[in-house]
Amino acid sequence: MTRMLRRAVMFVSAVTVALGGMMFTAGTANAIGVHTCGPNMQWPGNAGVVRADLLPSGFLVWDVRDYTDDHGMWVADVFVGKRRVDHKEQAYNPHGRINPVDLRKGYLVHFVIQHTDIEGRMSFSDPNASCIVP
Amino acid sequence: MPVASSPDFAAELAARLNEVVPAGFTVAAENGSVRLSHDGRFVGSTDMAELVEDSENFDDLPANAATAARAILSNVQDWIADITHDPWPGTRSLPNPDARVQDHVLDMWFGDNDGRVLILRPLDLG
Repeated sequence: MTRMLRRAVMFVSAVTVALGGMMFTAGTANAIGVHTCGPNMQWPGNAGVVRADLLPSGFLVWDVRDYTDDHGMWVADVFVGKRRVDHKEQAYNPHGRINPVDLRKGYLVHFVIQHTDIEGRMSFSDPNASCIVP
Repeated sequence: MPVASSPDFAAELAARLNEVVPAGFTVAAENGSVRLSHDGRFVGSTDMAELVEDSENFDDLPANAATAARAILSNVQDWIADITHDPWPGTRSLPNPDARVQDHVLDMWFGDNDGRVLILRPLDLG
């Protein structure tokens, strides 16, 4: 069940990423609220706040924090365009960094994070947790 | 040994990481995922090895293998540092993981290209 749900979330995210990419290509990125990746980005959502920071070195570092409890199981995926560049499952809130080599200029970086707390409640990151690689 | 599938890739990377992780940590492959445990307890897992069989990028195996390796190394590194509260590998800061494919061989390391802190056993992608 969890796997089916995860795949459904990933499918919706993939569609969002694809549409975002098309809209960006068409020059309407601002209309969907996607900004260029930069410092101190934040996307509050049901699964907590996703934060990301494009460092001067070119690495994109990110993390997520729940509003109340970071325990439970977390599943995190990071896409650049349709290409998944990170995935992790762990029992505390995740963080990571994306190598500049994997940040292709003009592509959409998209974070998809799912949290199941110790009570079994499931929550998801903001579907708009995305930015465009400058 | 040439690597043909994502479970093989996961197994080969897990074996190489298991050779270098600090005592108490175990890296193993399970159903195509690379999984880290500490003193027998689950810490984290990643199925990034799937990228080597990415159906939309069949012609981009070198780049996909390098990306998957970087992600797997980065995850294992972060999990170890989160558990021990010390940087790994090295002692001062977290050296960035990196990987490169040249002549069908995947090289993986932590640190700058000209200042590698830890080098993993190369992997023949066949």
